[in-house]
Amino acid sequence: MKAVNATARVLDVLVQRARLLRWIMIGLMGLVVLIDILKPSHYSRFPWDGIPGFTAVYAFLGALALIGLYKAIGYGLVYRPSDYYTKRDGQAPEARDEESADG
Amino acid sequence: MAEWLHPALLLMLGALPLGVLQGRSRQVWQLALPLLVLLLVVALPDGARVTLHFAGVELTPLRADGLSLVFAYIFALILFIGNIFALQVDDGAQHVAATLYAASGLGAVLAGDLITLYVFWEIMMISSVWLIWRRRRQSAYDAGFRYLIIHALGGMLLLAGIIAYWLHTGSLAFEPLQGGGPAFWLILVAFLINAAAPPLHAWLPDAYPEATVTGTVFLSAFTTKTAVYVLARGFPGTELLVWLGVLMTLYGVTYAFLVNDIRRLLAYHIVSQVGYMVAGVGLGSALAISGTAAHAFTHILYKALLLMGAGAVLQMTGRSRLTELGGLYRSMPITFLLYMVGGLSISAFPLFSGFVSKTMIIEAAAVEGRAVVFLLMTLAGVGTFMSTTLKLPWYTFMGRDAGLRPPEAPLNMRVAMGIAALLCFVIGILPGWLYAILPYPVDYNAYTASHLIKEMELLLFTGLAFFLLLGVLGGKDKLSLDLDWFYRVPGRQAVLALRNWIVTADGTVRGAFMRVFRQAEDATTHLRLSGWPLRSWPTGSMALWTAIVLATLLVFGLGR
Repeated sequence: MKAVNATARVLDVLVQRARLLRWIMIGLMGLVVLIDILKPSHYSRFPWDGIPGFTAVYAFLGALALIGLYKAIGYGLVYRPSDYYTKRDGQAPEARDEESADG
Repeated sequence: MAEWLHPALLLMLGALPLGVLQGRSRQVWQLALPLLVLLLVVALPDGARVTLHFAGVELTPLRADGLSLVFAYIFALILFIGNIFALQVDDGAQHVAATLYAASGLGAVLAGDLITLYVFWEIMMISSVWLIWRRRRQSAYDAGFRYLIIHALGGMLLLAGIIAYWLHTGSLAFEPLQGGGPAFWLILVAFLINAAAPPLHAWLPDAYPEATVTGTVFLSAFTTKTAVYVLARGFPGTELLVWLGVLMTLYGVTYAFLVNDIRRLLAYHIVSQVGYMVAGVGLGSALAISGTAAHAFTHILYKALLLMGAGAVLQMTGRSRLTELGGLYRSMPITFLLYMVGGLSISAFPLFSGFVSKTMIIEAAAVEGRAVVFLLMTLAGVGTFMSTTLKLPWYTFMGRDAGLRPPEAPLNMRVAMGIAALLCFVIGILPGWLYAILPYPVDYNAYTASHLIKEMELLLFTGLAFFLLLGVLGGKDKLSLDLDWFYRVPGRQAVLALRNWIVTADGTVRGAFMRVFRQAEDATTHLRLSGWPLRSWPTGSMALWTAIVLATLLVFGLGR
């Protein structure tokens, strides 16, 4: 139990330093892109291999695109109430287990 | 000697005592048995083969080579880790099922002929469904039945394919299949069902989250990875698999965003990660196949770790929905940190296992100059990091405090997660020993400056997008329809309609028959009472009828 509490305390300290961690992350992002710009690319297999910071931009835009895609699919097509199947199967939801239909 | 004691057979026999042993003796056997099997598998020399003749066919129940041994090692290892995680479970049926399931997975990857493969394939299905059913609630029972039906269909296709293959080639040896023909397609589709490739994937995210806390850990390891192995053995270099694999990587990550249940989220990531392996099989080069085997090895470890973490949360809080969780890092800090090791591994974070295996497959695509494949697989990596390593832990362990204060997971669960996490880390920093057991020798170094910079850019900027949009990314208390809808709603309705039609048709036919029967009965009674057949017949009429009969015989030549 001692180890559990000690770990929890360390995590709590980190959570309290969230602002500092955020700045460290932003600094790290800048540093990685800077290295990418300064260091000539090792590969030339694809047209984008020579563009510094390509992966960073691709990841950022890709993340936004994936979020947009899932929101569109969710709200446009596949989201249903969480008791969708239990209701359809012709049984009262309360007759089944409470947690039966998780998203 | 090791060749003659088949590890799968030993494991199957060893599973039986688990049903009757109780308490400490059951726990000791649960740990000793996988270790014994692991030793036996490690002792198998590369190239070991056992053949026997049975009913006129040559069977090869054991074939140990570079490809099968990687899978055999990890199967034995994960059974050991999973059994530590399941030590406190007091349910003999689950332990027997898990061990039989592991044994049949092991038997399938060591099978050198299609008949042996088929037998283990079916045992795998029948044993694994009990890990779902032993959750003992209606939704698990229903999901288990759907799982069973889909896999039974897959098994039938496999058998039909094997028969077609045998008729065509006269051989039952399990070697790479040549393109085209019914055998090729039947066997491929059967394998793809177990690999959870869309549109045949919905059984996995449907059934795995319904299984028991410990059962899901075993389920994540064997079925899909056996499928990856048989694809790598039977269909290397099949172009279709490249694109199917890429589709799987993106399908999995997209759906993982949509779902609310944490174990279902991770189940969709199995589809996604197996996608990398399927694409690797499709690429077919030595680097790609070795990357596939390496990724299967690391995937089994980190996915088990992730599902153990999610399972520990479910066990301790009774909840598994993102919308009902949050702020658990204070009460379950060890589980949180160990989960994060799994999360960093699946996201291919440098120093963790996924980095040394996933990048091999992506590198194989790059070497062949497959730009679209490379970009789409990289994009799937973005989604993996965002949902497994950021979203799930954020909304479970950090974020809004749901007010839950459960105790930390039991010691055996933490030890199991700890061993898996340690292995993820050791493979990440010392990939050499993993590379040494791969099917083909590889000259690949994950830790080049370019790889490191690109990977760090990828992960850090994905993180940036995640934290910028944190407000809209939480779980939604909704159900996301997947392709299982087709057999759960219209399919079910069609079956019910067919049943009603058969009942109605059966009633109509029976009614019509009885009506005709009764009419005939009435008619005969009437005829008998009327005395008409017994009246006196004129002689001329008799002579006429005799002449007609004789003429008929003459016409048909029967009088000769």
